[in-house]
Amino acid sequence: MNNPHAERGTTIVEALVAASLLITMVGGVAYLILQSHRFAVRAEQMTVATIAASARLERLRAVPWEYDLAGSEREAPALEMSPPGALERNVDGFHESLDSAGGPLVGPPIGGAAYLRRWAIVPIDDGASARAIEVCVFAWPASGMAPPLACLASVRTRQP
Amino acid sequence: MNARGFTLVELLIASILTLLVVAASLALAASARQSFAVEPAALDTVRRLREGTEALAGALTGAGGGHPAGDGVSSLASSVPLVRPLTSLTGVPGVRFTAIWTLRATDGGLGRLASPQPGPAGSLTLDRASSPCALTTAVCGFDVGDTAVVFDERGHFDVLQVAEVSDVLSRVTPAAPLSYAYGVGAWVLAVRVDRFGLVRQADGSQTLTRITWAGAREPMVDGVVELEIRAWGRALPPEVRDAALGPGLAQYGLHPPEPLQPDPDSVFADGAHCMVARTGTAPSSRLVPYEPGAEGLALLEPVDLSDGPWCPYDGWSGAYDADLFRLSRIDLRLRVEVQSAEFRGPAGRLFTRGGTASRNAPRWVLDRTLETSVALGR
Repeated sequence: MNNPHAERGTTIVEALVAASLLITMVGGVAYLILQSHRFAVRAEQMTVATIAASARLERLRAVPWEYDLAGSEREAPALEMSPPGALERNVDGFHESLDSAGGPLVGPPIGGAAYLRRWAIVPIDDGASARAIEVCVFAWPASGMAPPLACLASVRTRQP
Repeated sequence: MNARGFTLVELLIASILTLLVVAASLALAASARQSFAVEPAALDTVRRLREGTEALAGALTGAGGGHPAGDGVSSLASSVPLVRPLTSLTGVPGVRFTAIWTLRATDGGLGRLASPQPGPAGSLTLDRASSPCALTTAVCGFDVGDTAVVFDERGHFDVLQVAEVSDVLSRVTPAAPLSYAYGVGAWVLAVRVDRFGLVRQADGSQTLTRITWAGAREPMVDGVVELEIRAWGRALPPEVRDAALGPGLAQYGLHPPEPLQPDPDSVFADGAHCMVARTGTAPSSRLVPYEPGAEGLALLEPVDLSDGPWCPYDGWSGAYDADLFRLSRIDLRLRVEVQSAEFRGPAGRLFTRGGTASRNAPRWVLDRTLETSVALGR
């Protein structure tokens, strides 16, 4: 004897539930693909940012900073100490915009900026013979509390 | 019993839903397929870019860092130019720097000559009784096949390969004649000498390659389309300090000799050499000042490093420009392309070499560029 309920087919509710499940699964996969792409982009940004931070440190390490023949301290404008908060806001002489390769942009950043590099130079003791340098690179534009992509620090000592 | 089947409305709704799901799945599958193809290629491009940049920066840092080999006055870094920008790796010299030569000390032999070298082809007899000769079974740590540099404090230096080591005679014999017969006290130090630059491959691509002193070519990074090198040097000539107390100490490069010390090459006056002249007894630099930039350094062009003054003197077989001692910073710019042409669009600003991806921008993996700077000798 046939069961009349076994031949009734699929209800619209069942079809909707099945479709919802499928859409959820498809959405989940799509989300994973998107996240994978975001992580890849982020990893590339951090690579460029780390090397850009290192580049600024190296440039400051290469600046001649010595004593003169009389033994007096000879100042180097590039190693002047920064005002407080130079890593949190743009301070003239202690920040620059970078292109996607981590190279400094000349002139105002119009469309081409990808990163922002800020650095701080603070005294160790009185700063006459040693200074600490910290460099941070942010994704452009660096809004108020956005965390940096990379930060590096070093100590520069005056050469004899 | 209910055997009526689907109504037309139900069928339409079910069809529409099915179509929507299938369309979404197809779109996602296409996107996923593209993503799975493009992402690894993009990641590989970034990885090669990073590895190339770090390899070059590491080689420069290792070379520029110098070595404590010295007597407390002179050192490897003050006596030998450790980094040389080149305008060509192997071929015809160009008009800009595209390759680099580095010399860096290694954890190997270290010693000083105990007696004068009998001639440029003669063996080097090392002083094993005193520092810095390492107390090892080999002569001051040297072994056959080692690469070493021998140098003095007047700008002579030679890179050599050790062909023979005599433990009994405390001798190290170079594989080929040197350019000079070194005197007592000359330093011998195990080093690694490399050249870095781009080598073109059969398919037109270029590979960042290291060429060792022995001539071995070691591919480092494939798919490099540009290597730009900018050399920055000290704008001002080296000042000489403490000249009233003795020969004086130069800020960089070769230190002045004693005021009355004759030149063994008979080229310069007493108390002078390729970097230092003397007015009376006062030492002065032979280097000319350059206009300093904002960071106290001057950009050095190939002509600046090939116009003298020459060390140890003009005409010596291995003469080099004394301005090489100015070098303080190297800026590097490396550009890498995706290796498979299927991800490269038409040649232009985005792609140095065109590929087969035509106008299909979502499948493009753009050339990646990275710039960095390396301080030398600090």
